[in-house]
Amino acid sequence: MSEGKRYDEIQGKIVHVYDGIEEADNDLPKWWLWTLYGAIVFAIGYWFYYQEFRIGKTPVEAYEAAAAASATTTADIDPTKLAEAATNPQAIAAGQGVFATNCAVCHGDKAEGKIGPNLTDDRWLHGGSGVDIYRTIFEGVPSKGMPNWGPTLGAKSVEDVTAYVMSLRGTNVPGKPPEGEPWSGDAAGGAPAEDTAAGADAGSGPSAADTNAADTNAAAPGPASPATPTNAP
Amino acid sequence: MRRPLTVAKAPIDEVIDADHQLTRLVFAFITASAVWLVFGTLVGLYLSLKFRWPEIDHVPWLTFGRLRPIHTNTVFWGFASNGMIGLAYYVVARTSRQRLHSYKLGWISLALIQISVVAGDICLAAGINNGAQEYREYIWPVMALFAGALVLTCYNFYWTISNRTTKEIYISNWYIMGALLWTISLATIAYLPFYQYGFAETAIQGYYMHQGVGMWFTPMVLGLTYYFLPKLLNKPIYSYSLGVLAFWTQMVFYTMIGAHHFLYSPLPWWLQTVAILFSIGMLVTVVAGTANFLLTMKGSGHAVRNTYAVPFLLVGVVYYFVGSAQGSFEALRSLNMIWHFNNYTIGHSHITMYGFVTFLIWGGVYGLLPRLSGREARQLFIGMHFWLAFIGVLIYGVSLSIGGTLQGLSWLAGKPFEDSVTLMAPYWLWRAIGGTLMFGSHLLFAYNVWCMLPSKSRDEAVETYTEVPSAS
Ligand code: HEC
Ligand code: HEM
Ligand code: HEM
Repeated sequence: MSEGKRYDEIQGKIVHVYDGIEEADNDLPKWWLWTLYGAIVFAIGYWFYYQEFRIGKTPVEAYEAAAAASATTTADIDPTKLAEAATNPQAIAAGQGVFATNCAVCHGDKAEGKIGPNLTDDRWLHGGSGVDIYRTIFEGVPSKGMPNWGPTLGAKSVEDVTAYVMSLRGTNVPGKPPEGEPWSGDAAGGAPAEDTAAGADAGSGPSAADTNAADTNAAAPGPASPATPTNAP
Repeated sequence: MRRPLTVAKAPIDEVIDADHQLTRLVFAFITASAVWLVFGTLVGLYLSLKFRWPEIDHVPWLTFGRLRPIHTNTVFWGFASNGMIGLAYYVVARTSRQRLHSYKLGWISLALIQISVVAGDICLAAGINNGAQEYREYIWPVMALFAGALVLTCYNFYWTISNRTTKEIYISNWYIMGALLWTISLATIAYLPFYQYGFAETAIQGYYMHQGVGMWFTPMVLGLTYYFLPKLLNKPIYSYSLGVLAFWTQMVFYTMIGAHHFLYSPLPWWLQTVAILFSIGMLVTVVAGTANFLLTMKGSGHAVRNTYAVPFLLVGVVYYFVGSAQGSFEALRSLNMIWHFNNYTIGHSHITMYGFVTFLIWGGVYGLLPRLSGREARQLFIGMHFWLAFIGVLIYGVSLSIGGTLQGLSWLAGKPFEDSVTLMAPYWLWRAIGGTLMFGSHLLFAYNVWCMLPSKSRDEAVETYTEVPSAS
């Protein structure tokens, strides 16, 4: 059906007519071209940024960088520093804050244990020395539901919260029953459940961590005392 | 002061001298669509209440995991697809100036779609599904019925268009045929047995999810709008070239961007980058399409005020731009990091599927039905439908966009997950409020469709169909 092609005042020359719908064919508005140029420039830039020059990091690279940036791996953790932190009220207070926001959901407000184990008894699944606790927190036990906190919290906060957990050892808050091996890094010295890493750190004689553990336990005997001897071999 | 609800809209003076058989078919589709809309969004509303009151029930088939796919699949395949296909039956035949190739096939398609949605929803409620593969939760025999309906429709349209009495193929038909062909291949690929597990499952899921919205709903409603907008305004389309450009860039760019649903996933890094580039490229398409519509509408303020269908179209076109632009930015790695996995994306889904697709369908329905049947719905109710839906989806979109952003930032800051849940509570309440308004509007819509159904007497009056009247 060939309807006469008319000229519309607003839209200009009509090129097609279908079922009474007329279609003009105006030029693309000039400003529209900018979306095209913009998209092309963007595409080239983005491609070079992420693919060619690799300025933008892939998730793997970013993860590695972040892990590296959060400085201390667990290998070079200094037991002495931890020992000092565990007696430093400021570090403990900071650690308590970290604990309340991140850990209490699983370990309970008073660390008495919920999903995660009770942290106030003297049995430990992964060792109870400062270094052990630091490592458990930093690396986590992902297969058992304990997240690795190193990448999220960073070395400083892990250290603080380690100090806090160390200060809780043996306070025996009633809660989840103890799990794991008994650990008594106290004055008795030859801590039975100590694992090798702590032992290696110790070098000759009792390690600083052990000494410190002894300190805290000795300084605050309180409720801890009765339990300790029972568990000690 | 203008009181939009009481402004008298122009009555529908012209009644299209349409083929009576076609009219019945179109009405059947639209009625089904309205019923599914009410059912599907009743479920949606209930879901949104569950975010506020999770303990509301303890019945297995009312659990979130079952109701959510019932909501999404019902509105997708029941409401939107029926609505679009119904309008398309009219547009294709009309712009080709040809009788529909086969009415029988049309009715069979209609039946197949309804059977598949009923069967699919029952299966979902019973816990029988295709796994957590979004929008393809229907098991394959059910989806095969739906695909069958698409094949029949496509065949029907193909012959109608190919026997057209006009010289060129109108742009609406390009879009409609494109959408059907794409969706048929899409549904087939998505259900191939070897794409149902492992890594391929993920890759195909991204492809499917995106093509579903981008190659089915989007081109279908755009095609319909290319018909209804100029028709209702009674004005020429601004530019043929812009339309063609938007069509082809849509076809090329949109197919490339499925991987943007899985940024930071194990999908190849370069594939993700390509998806992002084309997501930004989509701005070209979207701006071209939106500009063409808006430039066509330019100077038609009176039509927006005086007709009740055009405001729906205007809102749809604006949301097309807003939702798509939002999507383009959401595809950038840095921003996706904030918005992925959270309620911001739900906001985007509704801004696009509701603000854009649903409003354009309504525009078409209100523009066409009264002209086919000669019966109008009460203007007050159409106005109320418009405002309830408009304000409702605005609340829905804004609350989830703000809430989702805060939620994402809270996650990035490494705060405990529970924090983000308490943070979202007020936004979820707002979503439920918006949802209530939206659902109310759907009841009105269903009632309005009822009012527009052809009366028996008129059926007889337009019994025979000779030739389409020439253009006015
Ligand atoms: C998602 C729950 C969850 C959170 C949050 C969590 N933990 Fe744990 N945690 C666990 C579980 C579960 C275990 C037990 C792991 C096992 O069985 O090996 C555990 C074990 C531990 C242990 C070792 C206990 C032992 O007996 O050796 C320590 C120490 C610990 N968590 C400290 C923390 C600290 C500090 C935080 C916060 C920074 C924290 N956890 C946060 C779940 C959690
Ligand atoms: C330029 C156009 C668009 C772009 C670039 C875009 C981009 C995106 C992105 C990046 C996501 C994923 C968000 C995430 O999970 O992190 C998404 C999700 C989604 N988009 Fe779009 N979008 C566009 C247009 C549309 C349109 C037009 C529709 C509807 C017709 C739509 C419907 C959806 C839906 C339903 C989802 C949710 C998918 C899911 O369930 O996960 N989008 N979009
Ligand atoms: C009364 C109106 C509606 C309400 C209250 C509503 C509510 C909801 C809710 C609560 C969800 C689940 C969100 C989540 O999992 O966090 C959802 C998902 C969804 N709804 Fe709706 N909805 C409504 C209407 C619609 C309509 C009409 C459409 C489409 C035409 C639609 C499309 C979707 C889609 C695509 C999703 C999945 C989103 C995604 O995964 O990103 N909704 N809706």
